[in-house]
Amino acid sequence: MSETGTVARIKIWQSNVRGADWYYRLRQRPGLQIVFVLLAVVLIAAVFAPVISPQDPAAQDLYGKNQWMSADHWFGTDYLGRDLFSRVVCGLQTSMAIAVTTIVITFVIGTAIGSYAGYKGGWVDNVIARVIDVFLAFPSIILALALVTLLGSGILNMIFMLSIVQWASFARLMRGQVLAEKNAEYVLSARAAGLPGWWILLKHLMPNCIMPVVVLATMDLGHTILTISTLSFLGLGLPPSIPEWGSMINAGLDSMRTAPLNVIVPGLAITTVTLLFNLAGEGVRDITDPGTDAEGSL
Amino acid sequence: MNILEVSELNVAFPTRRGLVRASQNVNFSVKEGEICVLIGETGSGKSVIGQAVLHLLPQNARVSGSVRYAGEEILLISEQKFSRLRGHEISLIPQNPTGSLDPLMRCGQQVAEVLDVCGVPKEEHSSRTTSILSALSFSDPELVAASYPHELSGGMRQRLTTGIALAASPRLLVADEPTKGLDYAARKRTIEMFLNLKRRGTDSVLMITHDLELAEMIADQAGVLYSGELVEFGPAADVFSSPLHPYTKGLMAALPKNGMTPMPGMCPGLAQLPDGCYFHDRCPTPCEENHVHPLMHEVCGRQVRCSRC
Repeated sequence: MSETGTVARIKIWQSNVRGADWYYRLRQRPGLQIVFVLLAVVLIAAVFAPVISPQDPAAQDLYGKNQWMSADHWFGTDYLGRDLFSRVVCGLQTSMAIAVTTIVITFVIGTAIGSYAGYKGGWVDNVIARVIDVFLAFPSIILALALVTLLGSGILNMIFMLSIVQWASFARLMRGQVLAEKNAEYVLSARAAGLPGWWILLKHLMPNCIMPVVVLATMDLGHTILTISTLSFLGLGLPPSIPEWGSMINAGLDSMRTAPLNVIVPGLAITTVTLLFNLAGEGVRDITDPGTDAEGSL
Repeated sequence: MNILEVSELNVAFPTRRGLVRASQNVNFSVKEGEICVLIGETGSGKSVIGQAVLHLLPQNARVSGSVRYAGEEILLISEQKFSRLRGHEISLIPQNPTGSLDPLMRCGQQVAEVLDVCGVPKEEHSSRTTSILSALSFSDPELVAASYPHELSGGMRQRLTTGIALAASPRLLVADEPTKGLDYAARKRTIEMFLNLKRRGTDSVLMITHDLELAEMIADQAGVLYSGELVEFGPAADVFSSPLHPYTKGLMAALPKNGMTPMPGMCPGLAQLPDGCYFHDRCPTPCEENHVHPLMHEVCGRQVRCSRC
């Protein structure tokens, strides 16, 4: 850290503003600021997808199929003449809605189960830890395939299935955090002060354990979007009526050589969003960890 | 009246090297309004006694004996029953003030949550917290209450943990090495604080320490632990001025003001204790035969574990 950086740091510390350290570490990282801005654009686009998309994503125009980029169709048209830009934006909304819901569900369930197991210990912890192991040992795509076959396609089924596949990694991380933290002296003195167990868990352990789980959640958002696309690519995720990036790639495969935009546009969309979430995850880790320095990170 | 009576307390931990007997047949009592100090070197089992009194032993500990608080057996009662005593009946001043404060919670909140447990209404929390903090000679209690632990100095944290322990005005205070890791000034303040407690005369304190000077200044009763056993217990003034057990004598001689004479040898490992007297190998005046384990017996109004006394 440079000399001026240290001075600024001390000033921020002395200013006694809560959260100033985060802000300071974010300010040191222009790359990360760009990532957060882009991510904000993506999130806004997802929320306002129907407003943003210039045309009906389902409107076919067989005379104007497989067009290149133009003023009318920014990203060209697909093999049925549908506007690719509108379809990508609507696909973004679908993916984000599913991914965010899934992550919220798995975050809540995973942290609750994981922290309970870690705090309780004994046979309860043993049973839960083995269950987590079983879920993690199962290849997630295979498990997802089995569940889709069982439940059928659809957005709600997709969320349910992804939650079942992913809660275990949150639970394992949270359990490990609580296990490491629960023998800390402040927990012992909280117990000695007569505080009830649930209070210690909620007010003392959770805040001290949650940060790595938040980082995992941010990174897992990208991962989940990738999984959704993978499943739809395999034709197992969502019904074909819903625009989705994976199924768009799959449908475009046949005409890939003559109309590459059919594959490139949704492919780039998947890559960009996944990359943004991964970078944001790393960024959240960096700015919440006082031990990291700006050099060598975004 | 005895507020705490510990009798035949045994604590052992099963390990790969065998059973580690951290505390053996410990007998002592703390009278109401008195300060009882247990002295011992690292590994003599002194912290284990405090943890046993507070039900804070690790789950694998094997405990037997009896601990009576105000006449009521508390050693082997359920966690649920015991948790009612915590905070407002028995409380702990923890060993390490830095680690014992939640780094993510404001200091005032950490005092207030103890008040909450003891049924103090929410509206009174902030005023009570402020008065507790100012009683511990914080110059700006409101600022301290609004700070996070890392913003305080080591000595301030020490006083804060004491404030948390005293928040619900417990009848018995267990202080586990309150001067450990403190610099001279902070240590002096801590000693003054305990002297204040002593002058008030209402608090009963069980203190565990290896700080002999602190013990000498504040103790009413003093016990000396060696290899998990009490070797001497009695009125502090007598124990410090005319020690009877050779180990106590050695400790006193090792004090800077008494010439800093080191004691030769090491204490035996708690997993492989000899049959006879544990202190035999280091004793300056050893008995010829070391087959029989010496028992506590009364000499000049105190308990001593030495067959020579």
